[in-house]
Amino acid sequence: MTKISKILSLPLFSIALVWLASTGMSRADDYSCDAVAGLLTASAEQELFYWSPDRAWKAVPADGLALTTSEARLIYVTRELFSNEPRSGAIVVKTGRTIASGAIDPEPIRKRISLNRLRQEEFERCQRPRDLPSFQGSVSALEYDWHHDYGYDASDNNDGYRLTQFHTGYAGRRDRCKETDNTTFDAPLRWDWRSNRSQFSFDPSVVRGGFNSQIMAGLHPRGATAVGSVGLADQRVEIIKYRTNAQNVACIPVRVKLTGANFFIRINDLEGAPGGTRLIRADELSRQLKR
Amino acid sequence: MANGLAMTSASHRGSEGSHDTRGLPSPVSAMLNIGLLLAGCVAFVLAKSITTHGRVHIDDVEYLLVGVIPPALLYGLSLAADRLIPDAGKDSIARRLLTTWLLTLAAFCLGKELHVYEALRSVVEAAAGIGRDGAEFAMAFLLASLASMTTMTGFVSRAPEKRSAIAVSLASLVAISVMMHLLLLPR
Repeated sequence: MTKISKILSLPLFSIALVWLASTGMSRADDYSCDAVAGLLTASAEQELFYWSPDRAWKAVPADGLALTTSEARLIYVTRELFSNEPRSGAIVVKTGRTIASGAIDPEPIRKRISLNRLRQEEFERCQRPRDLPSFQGSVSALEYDWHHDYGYDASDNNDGYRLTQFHTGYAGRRDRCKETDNTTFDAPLRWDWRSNRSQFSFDPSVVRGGFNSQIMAGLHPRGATAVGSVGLADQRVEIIKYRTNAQNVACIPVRVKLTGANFFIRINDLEGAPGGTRLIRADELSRQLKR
Repeated sequence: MANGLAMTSASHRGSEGSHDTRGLPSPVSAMLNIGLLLAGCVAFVLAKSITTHGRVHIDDVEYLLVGVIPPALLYGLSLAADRLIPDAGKDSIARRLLTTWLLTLAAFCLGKELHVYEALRSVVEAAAGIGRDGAEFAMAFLLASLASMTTMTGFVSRAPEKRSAIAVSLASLVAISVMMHLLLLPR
């Protein structure tokens, strides 16, 4: 019996090592969860923590945070309250800064939005055939807003092509494959017109209520005006995939570079949902990070 | 053209025996024809606005004028159809064709507004193994077919010459699909 266990233990140990090595993100996740374990609120579906100057993790206050450094180390925690099953998902991290009144706000066509998606090998199962393993690039704010504020098709140009390469497939609830740029409404019968793609908008009203109307834009004498990026600068968007652990929590480390005053971070969990009997999309988590 | 439609309407009624109004367009009929024409132009501009990401809008007069071209061509088709099926009446055919065009555009705009168009187009693209342009044409044909079924079924069933009526319906279906595809391309 001892012999058998010795024979079995070596291959099992090797398998465990290989598994740990291949799931780099999961280990980082567990480490992050350990770091903020004592701070978690059991009833909150999402929380944001920062590494404070006094070398301790603290919750980012809802009314914003004043930082002295140019880089912030954050941990975003999403908690599954709707179901007891561990699940996968993806978050959208949008950062940028509000241009102060009186300062020059370039036309959306002249502004660029940085798009980032790192390779996460453990989540490649749901990637679409056309998806690149990772993506880093930028598109004009106008093109970005058309696609995410109004739901227009990506244009037949380089920016449009980059947008389609940035978006990706991911595993959602019950491990069903979904797409980050899906435009299917959440629940039109409940007047919930939100969709995955609308969560990428920089316009809070689009994130809350769904796309602007394409028909109304055609009836308006000014057409579709790019509203999401007006008054914003240094915009950056990142997609990060995750999986909740045995405690139904996922802790995602995020690093942001504060590019100036009035900096903000907005995080949208595409699969996040508050508790309750109905599956309803979680609201956007928005915080000010002042310098 | 609306006046032309109204005149044909009056001449058709005249052929049915209403000699008092022969040659005079009925105000209701004229208003209906003008309404159809205007609605077609507005729907065209809205559809064009959607495919150009809102760069075209309702006050773009040149696009409103371009929007007259499809109804004009469909009116031409109705004149040809009148020779094939004299009993149907030019006005009746023209109105049906204009309504088909209007419904096709309305279905396109609604499909885009409710974001079901893209999902359907993806299915067509994947199922038929064709590129984006091919899928767009297939969608134009599909929408035109749905609109045509609504407007032309009664016409075909009542027409004394069924083959000619079917030929007219198919010709209009192809014409509307091609016009949708060409005019709504974002380029």
